[in-house]
Amino acid sequence: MMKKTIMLFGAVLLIATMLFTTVSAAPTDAFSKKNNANGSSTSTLARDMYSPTIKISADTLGLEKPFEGISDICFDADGSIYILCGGEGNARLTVLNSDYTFNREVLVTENGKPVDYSGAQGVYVDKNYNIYISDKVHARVLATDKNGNVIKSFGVPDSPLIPADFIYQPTAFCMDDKGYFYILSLGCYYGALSYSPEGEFLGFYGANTVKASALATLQFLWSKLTDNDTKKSQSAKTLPYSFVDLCVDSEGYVLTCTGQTDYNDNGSGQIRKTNSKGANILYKSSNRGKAESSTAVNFLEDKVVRRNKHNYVQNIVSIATDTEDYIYILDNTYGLIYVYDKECNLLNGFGGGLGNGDQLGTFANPVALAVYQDTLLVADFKNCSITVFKRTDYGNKLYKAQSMQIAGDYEQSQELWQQVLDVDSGNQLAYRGLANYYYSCGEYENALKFAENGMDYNIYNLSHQELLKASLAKNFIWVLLAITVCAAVIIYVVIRLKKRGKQIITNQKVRTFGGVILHPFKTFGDVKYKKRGSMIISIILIALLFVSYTLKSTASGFLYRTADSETFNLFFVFLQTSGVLLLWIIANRLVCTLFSGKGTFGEVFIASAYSFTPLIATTFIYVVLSHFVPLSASGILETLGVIGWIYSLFLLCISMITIHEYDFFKFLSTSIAVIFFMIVIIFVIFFILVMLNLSGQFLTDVFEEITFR
Amino acid sequence: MKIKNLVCLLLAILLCGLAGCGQADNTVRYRLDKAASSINSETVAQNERYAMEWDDENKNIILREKSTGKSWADIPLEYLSNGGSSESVNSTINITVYEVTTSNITEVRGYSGAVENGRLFCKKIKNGIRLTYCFDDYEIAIPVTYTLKDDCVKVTINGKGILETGEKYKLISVSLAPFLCSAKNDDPSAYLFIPSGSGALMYVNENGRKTRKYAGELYGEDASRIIQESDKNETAVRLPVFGAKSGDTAILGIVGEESGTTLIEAEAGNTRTHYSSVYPKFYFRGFDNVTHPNNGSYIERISEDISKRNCSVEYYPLIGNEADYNGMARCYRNYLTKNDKLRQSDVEQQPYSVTFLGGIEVSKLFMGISYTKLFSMTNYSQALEIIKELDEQTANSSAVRMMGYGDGGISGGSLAGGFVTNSDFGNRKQFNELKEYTSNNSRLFWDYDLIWMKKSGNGFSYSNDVSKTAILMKAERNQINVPLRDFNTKNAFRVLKRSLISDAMDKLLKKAKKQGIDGISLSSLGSVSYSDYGDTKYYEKAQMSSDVRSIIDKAVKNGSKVAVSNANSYAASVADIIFDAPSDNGGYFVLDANIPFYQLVFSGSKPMYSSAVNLSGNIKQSILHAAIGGMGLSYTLINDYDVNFSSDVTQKLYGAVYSGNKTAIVSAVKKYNEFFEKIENSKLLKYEILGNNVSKSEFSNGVILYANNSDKTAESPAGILQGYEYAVVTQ
Repeated sequence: MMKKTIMLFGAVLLIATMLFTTVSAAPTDAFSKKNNANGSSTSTLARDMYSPTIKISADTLGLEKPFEGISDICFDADGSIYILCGGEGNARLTVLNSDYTFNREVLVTENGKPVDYSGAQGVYVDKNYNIYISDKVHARVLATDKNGNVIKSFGVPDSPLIPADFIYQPTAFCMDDKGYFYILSLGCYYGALSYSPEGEFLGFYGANTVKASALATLQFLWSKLTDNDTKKSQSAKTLPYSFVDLCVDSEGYVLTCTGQTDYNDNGSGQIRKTNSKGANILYKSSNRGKAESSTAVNFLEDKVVRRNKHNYVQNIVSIATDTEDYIYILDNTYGLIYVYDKECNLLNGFGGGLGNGDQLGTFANPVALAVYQDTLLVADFKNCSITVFKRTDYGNKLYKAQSMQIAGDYEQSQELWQQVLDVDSGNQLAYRGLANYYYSCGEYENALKFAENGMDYNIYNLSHQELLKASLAKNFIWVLLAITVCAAVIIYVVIRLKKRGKQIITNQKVRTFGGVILHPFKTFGDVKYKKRGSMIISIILIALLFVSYTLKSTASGFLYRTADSETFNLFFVFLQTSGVLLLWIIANRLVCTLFSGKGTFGEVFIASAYSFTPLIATTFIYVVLSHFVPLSASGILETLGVIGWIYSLFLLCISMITIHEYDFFKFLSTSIAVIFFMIVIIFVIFFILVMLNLSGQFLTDVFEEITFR
Repeated sequence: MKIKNLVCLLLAILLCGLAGCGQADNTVRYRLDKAASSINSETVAQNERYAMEWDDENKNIILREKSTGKSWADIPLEYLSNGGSSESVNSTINITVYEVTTSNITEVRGYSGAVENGRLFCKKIKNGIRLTYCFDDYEIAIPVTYTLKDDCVKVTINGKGILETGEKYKLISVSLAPFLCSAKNDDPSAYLFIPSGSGALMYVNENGRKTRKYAGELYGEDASRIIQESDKNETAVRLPVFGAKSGDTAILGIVGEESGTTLIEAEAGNTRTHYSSVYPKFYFRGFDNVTHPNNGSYIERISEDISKRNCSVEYYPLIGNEADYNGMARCYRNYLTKNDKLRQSDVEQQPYSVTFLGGIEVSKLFMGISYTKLFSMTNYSQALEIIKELDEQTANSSAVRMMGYGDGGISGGSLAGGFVTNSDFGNRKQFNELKEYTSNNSRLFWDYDLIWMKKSGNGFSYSNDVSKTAILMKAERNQINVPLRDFNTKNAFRVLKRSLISDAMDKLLKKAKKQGIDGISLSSLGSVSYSDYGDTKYYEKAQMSSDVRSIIDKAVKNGSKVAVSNANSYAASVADIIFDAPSDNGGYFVLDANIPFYQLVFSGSKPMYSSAVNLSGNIKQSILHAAIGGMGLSYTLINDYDVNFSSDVTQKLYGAVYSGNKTAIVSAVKKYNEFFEKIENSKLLKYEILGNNVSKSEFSNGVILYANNSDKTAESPAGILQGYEYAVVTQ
């Protein structure tokens, strides 16, 4: 009693109060996704696209019996609402007018006798107002006229396509414009059952597939080779996830959703749109201008929250589309509703309650959603109610603007996007929309600015190209002239100095280092035999390697920047660069000692550091060029990076051969040993860190116990 | 010899000690039995208007109005006359106990736990009666006194008199007079008044509905309580009142200020008892919700010591025209006035207010090194420009609140933002220009957070000057991420020690004076109520009301004007201005109707402003709620927005950018002002729910506002109203 009532009461209000007291506390906050530079996305607060307006229940309608066992809702073509309650022995179908007033109870009869459809899970009304009730318990779909007189009943099809062990439990029904219809059977992993307009069973349609992994493939092969009949009979078979709901979009494509997948992962590809062959044609237009299949898209959150011993894995239970083919999905676990456009961009998420919703706009056990024009309904099994959401003014603008954006009507959408941005300044879709508009108008500077804010790499790249082109066209002569003059001056100075016998660099060690790119054998020979290697230069080089890679992530041009200020980990970059190099140096010295290597620690240190000069140089060049090079020419940068790596490894090879006085094959064999030893060292370090972490945790616990008291 | 004597002496002392230990329980019970007595059914107290009677047969207290014969009773008389035998209705007190060995929490009804066993003792006292409930199975005794006052009955649990002698069970809470404030379900006009948010009604009819239960912690969740999850934003109970109306009578309960942690619980349409009731539940032990170290499950741990404070409720019977929620609001307003707790403010009400958000901490990268920087969202000059522009374009001036202008901005830093305005927002000249422009009508308020801190500073330590939770951990709160509502474990806010709030206020007043600031906004202090289990004085939110009141008094005496936000009654009543006044009941399914009770109580005594209209999910509805309560509109603004604001930002900054809101503000304020001018200097007198989602607000100058509370078109006495529209009728 005390636990839930007092514990949860006011918790977030309190947090909202302490941080920011000017917002009235809606039960939950709407959200959208923010794309990050590192390719990930995070959920952020957003303005409400839909606002809950009313909760409909039996008592608000003045009905005697509550909507117990409410399992599905749908709209008909006129916006009347059909509420299916499939309670045991208490099944009923209630119809409400579009203004949410009671219209009638549909009495389902066959030959004048009432039909029992207790346990029914789905209701659908076609354009002729015929009603289809998916009666799971009685293994049939009842087709009735609008008065509830049964016209036809669809039982398990008599077809060789139906497997012998098939259990027919219809839970959902939908029909396309041509009259083809689809029935979903609970737990059926073959896909939906498809029927012709005449009611002829056509076969299974659009099944999910089992995700393959390298490990799973190896396991499969191993099983093939080793399993006997006994083992096979005892092994578990991996089956694809079955659909939990389906609907048809305006073009007649079937959209399906998959419910809860893994216990520790919300997975991806939960929504599919299938063509007539059952192939998934739903794609996401990425912010890099590419289209990727929805199978790679996680329509839910990346995170799985653990509370009170349980992992709260999201579970899609219902899907709907509207006239613009926007996709609405309902997550039963958190009570969240997600609105996606037809290109899988999240417009808004809202709802909530986490199985405990007791306020308008939250849910305890949401089971179904339905969409009609600007109205969205969600049925809650536990609260025996329906919550009506209306699209807000902001929502209407966002909806229209995104529809125009998808249709390529950038000009018309500009004003709407600006209005969206006025009240939702963090909306990346609006920035992207405006970027598109400005690009289409030829206002590339503006397009660049909005594309950066909207993380739209495609428009940024195109605008950047245009600006670069314009800039080069305007200043090509001057740029060329400047480069020529600079080159001429440098060449002249060098020739003059050489003629006079003067050297630009007088320090012997620096001069030795200066030769590492063009005269590596001589340089490493000097390091080994003339002791002309510099420890200071080596340390600077190792530091520069780290700095160059840091800059590559953080200071490259927008198109190539991968660091996110919130998640960027400098220490990780250090480990990846200087850390690995230092580890190589240590491992090399230790291993090569055993293999008659002649190099001292200092020599290995210097030689290794010198070897990475090309990589450091190309990385710095990469950072500079990345501000100018468009994505279409990104190959130049990639090639530069590859050249840097190859030449550095080549230098490393030469340096090790020279320092240790090895031949190539000995170098190769010792290098393999060194790499193996590096892995061992990493493992040991990791092991020690785990031990330290555990000890630290123990000490922290003890410390907290002491200090918190 | 000496040693022998010494050993004998020690043995004797030890034996005596042991004997004492063995006798402890019996001694306590013996003393109780000796002191206890019983009395026959009789009138135990009376005054000119009321008589308080004791019904010994049913162990019931009855309050009777002499002139009309109307009565109110602990156990409803109609229920008794119909031979009702429900244990819950017959229980005039319920307790919850914690079983130490199993951590189980059990609710024990007074009837089966004490009365039925003949373990209720009563004694006449001056103007009343004292009842002592002995729950022998749990070795707990609760003394309750009923005292008749001029116009009410005061029911008090004497905290010092509570006996808890066993080791197995610990008292957690006491529900007092669960059916004194009740109504029979078959009365179509009956309802319960619930103080959730601005106020709510629960209709008692059953109509095929299940029993509906409500529970809300008075003054919001204890900030010094460890919580594990927070599924949704709850709406707090801001007023210490509750009531029930039945027929032409009603009763209003006002929870005593000293009562501390109290839950207002209600049950409407109970299908077993066929009665609906609302009552207070007083907590005598704090608790924390913690994670089991082994299996990760949530468990509750309670505080070791019991709170010894008194908890009381005054019940005001209401008859005739006063017997509705409007009468209850008047009654509570009179109660505050009579007890000198409602200060009349001389600050002028404006049609709208503007809250500027100063800074926010953002993380940046420099050469890959991450660092946080205070990002100025609105500096002094920008704020001044916006104020000037809005003044000019709306042809009205606004009340102005400046938030997040200290250390850490709205992200939080040291206590009260370091007590000074940060120089990142402008220089002294710009600061003074802003002050000067807004100097008329005391319309500028600077917000200081005197409760939460994220780091040490100005003599307040993040490590040491922190309140303790029930299990003596440091009290802290994490921010919540959307949409899965998990806690962001970095940068927890900690709660200042209760004993240091006054010192913090002293420091604030000194610093404010130095800066020439006379308008102080205490948003967190006015809305957060909490305990400190590091000091017995502050167990179970004890003294929070009086402490805050005296702190605000101190500021007022110092010449400052004090603003509060979404404030609890004790702060709202003495403040000069209320921002973010609650305007709805939180939309709980169990609540049937929304009423502006908060506004009925405080309107006319001080300016009130709604919560931020521009950040609301339903802007039209927000404006409508403001109009219904006769409040000014409110807007939260920033000048500069950065798309790289952290995704952890829990504030709705996306909707606060001035440039995007300017047109909407100007048009909304201009339109709203047409109504506002008509109700200027008047107060909300009466609120009525007319049906068809239309409501009627009556103001003291005769202006009537009809409002359509739904998104559908509705017909009102003033004509057809579109969704969320209102119409004003001047008499």
